[in-house]
Amino acid sequence: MIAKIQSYTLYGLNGIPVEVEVDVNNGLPAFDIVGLGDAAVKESKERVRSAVKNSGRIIPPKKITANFAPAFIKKSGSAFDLALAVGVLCATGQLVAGVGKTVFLGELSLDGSVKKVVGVLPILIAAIADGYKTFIIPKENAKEASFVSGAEIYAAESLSAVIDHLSGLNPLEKVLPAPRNLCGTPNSYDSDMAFVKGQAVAKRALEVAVSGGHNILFVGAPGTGKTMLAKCIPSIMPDMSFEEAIETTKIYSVAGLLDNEGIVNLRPFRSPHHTATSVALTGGGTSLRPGEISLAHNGVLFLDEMPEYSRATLEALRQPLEDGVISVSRASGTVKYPANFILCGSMNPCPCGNYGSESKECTCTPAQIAKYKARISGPLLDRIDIKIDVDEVKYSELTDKAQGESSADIRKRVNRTRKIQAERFKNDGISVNADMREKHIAKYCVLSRECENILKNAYENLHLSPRARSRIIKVARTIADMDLYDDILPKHLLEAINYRNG
Amino acid sequence: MKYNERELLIIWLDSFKDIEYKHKRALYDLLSGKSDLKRNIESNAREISGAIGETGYNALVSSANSDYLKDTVARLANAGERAVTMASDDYPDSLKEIPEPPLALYCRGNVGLLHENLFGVVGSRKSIPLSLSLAKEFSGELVKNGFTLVTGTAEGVDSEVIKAALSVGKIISVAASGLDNIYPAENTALIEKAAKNGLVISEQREYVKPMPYMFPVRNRIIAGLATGVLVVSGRLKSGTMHTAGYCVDYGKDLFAVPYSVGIESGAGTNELIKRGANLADSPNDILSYYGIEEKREEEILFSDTERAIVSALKEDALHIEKIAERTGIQIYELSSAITALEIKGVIAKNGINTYGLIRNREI
Repeated sequence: MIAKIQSYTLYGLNGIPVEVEVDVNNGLPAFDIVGLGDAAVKESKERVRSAVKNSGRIIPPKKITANFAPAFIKKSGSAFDLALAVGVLCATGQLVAGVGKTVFLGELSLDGSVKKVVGVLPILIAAIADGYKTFIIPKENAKEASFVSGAEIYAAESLSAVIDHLSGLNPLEKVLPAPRNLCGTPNSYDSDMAFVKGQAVAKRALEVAVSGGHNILFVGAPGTGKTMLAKCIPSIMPDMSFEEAIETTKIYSVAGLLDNEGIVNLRPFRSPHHTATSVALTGGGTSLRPGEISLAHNGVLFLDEMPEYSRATLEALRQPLEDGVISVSRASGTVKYPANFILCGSMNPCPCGNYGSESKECTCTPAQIAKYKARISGPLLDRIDIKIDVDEVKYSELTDKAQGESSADIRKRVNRTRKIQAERFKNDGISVNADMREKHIAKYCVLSRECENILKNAYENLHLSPRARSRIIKVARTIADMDLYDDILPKHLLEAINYRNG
Repeated sequence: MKYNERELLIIWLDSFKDIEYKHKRALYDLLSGKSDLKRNIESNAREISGAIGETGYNALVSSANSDYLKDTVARLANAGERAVTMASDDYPDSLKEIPEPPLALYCRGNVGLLHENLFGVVGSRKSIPLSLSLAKEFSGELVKNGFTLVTGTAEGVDSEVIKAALSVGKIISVAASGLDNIYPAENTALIEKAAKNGLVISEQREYVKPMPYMFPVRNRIIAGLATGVLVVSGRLKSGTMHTAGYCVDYGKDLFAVPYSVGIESGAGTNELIKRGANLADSPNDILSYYGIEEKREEEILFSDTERAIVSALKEDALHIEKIAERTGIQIYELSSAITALEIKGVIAKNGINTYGLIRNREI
């Protein structure tokens, strides 16, 4: 007798349907699995054998063959265990139930309990789109599953509970849909701008950066608070929409990084160490895992001590910074992960950290400084619109009782500025000022003669590089938006010049 | 390029790397004015080998032929250089007066500049941005008033001086090493521009690599060439102070920019003023010293915000947050006003996020 059970596997952020077929024949006792499974899939027969036995059923001494169709797609992981066990029980006639339209996901433990698997959320979303309505998933994945709607989802703790459910004895607990307004809960970030003492320039620059989606670079000696400022960025970013939260959650689900909340409803802040490889950053490996830049999707990627990263690692950021997605191609296939983040970098002004300081002497040679700065390539710097010098906070400022503005207040303004941009760019396929190309700049950033003069004088007197021009204009556009002006006024431009990078 | 007999003798002598300066001078005095070089050397064999050793003597004898000389001159021409020697007509008089004038200056560019009205502007490599703004301003004004500037090849103040004078070509950049090995190498492109529009000179042949001892020796050329020297910035122990020392030795006019206490790159100039250098906090101080009519400062228009910032900075350079505190202006308004003042050349960065007036002015 043959049994067909529906399951799913992950391919990037997509779920792909996999049919688990189990056939039982007379012959020498055997349990074979075919259909391009990896080691975890091959081993599932041992888990299934024990789980079935410890759930009070048996694997009869017959020749059992399981096929995972379509057979040409490589399958990995342990999420087929449950489907395989149910298939074996059906094929051997120990379970008689209509399971045709139910999707099974779950790993089995030897004692028969169902354990959590990765990627439940993206699989559910894909399967619902494919027309499947009924799901049985591990109880530990129930939280993340509660954020999809339009399906009957059952959470199972053990194989025997699944058997009872399917044979109609004791139905499983249904997963109740979670309220959709769980996201963007204010003040739930660890860092808040109100706690950053002094640094008024940097705080203002951060608000500008976030308002216009500009990438930002902090330059300052170690211990001046660059990391603390960077950690505040998610807290002033616009409220995370439900769709954004689901996008980010999908990535975390695939990476197996979801916590008990079951959803990523705070904007992520990722700060990979500078020893990270380019694969760790962009994603890859045999299983095509998402990298740090995808985990920072809709949030912030913070690269502390940016020149210390290997050149290849930094250069790998260029294309995703441009496109907001990363294509990861390996022997096992090509997948696309979203990677739309604000890049925040930090660096010392020179290897010793004292260059430009009023009181301390810099001990670096010009060649050392040039070499240090050259580690960040021009094309990458072109993607960073704002550069801020961060200096030491004086003790008097640290003990100052007066609190700064809270992140919530700043976020209100940021929301407003983002709305202005969304309205402006609704037909241009971009959403923030930082994404403007030359044609958009020509269209939306018309400079008055006075502004042109300022730029010309700045170019001559402040040694601006020609590349800096469009970056300055983009930032000026954002500052004008924050100020609710349709035209870029000289003061907006001047402030933008102050944040210039290069 | 045609060189006369005496010039050729110097070029020939200068091609021997291992002979010291004083011996070259003595050899020049000994050998000049006589026709057959080789016989001359041989007839003074004892004296010469006594001074520069047997190997030195042998090297001289074996190279005392027209092929070697031709080759040396050809290499010079190939390097695009012209030698202005002590025996040349266009060797500057000012250098003849110093105790150890360079035997030859290897020049790229407009040699005529050596006879212009020369003024030295020097400063440290690591200067605060304020010093760089000052270097630029002083250089611009001096060039405008007919001076040709003399400086080194380093980054920092030297580069600023070169850039300021480059457009009108009134710049002599004095390198310590040979001109094919500019130090620091990062400045090679700038120095090439200086050679194109102005003049770059060195006491060394083009192939000589920079060595630490060459820098103080080079500084005597800067001091020797110029009528006066302005020290824009400098730490207490620095090459800049060497140049100033040579100025005093040679009786040149010395000017120095004053700094507030605690700024390391200003300690040297303050020391110079203490010891009697002329204090120069604006180009007019130098111009009026030379009897050039003082030009009225250009009227700059200030907005109210800008005026408030300028008066807050009157006493001392301030951190931007202190400026905000003193003036009560919001940071974002302050940022744009500060940039405007920077562009107008009224204030400059004095450290990280710290700004100071380039000079006090009535507003």
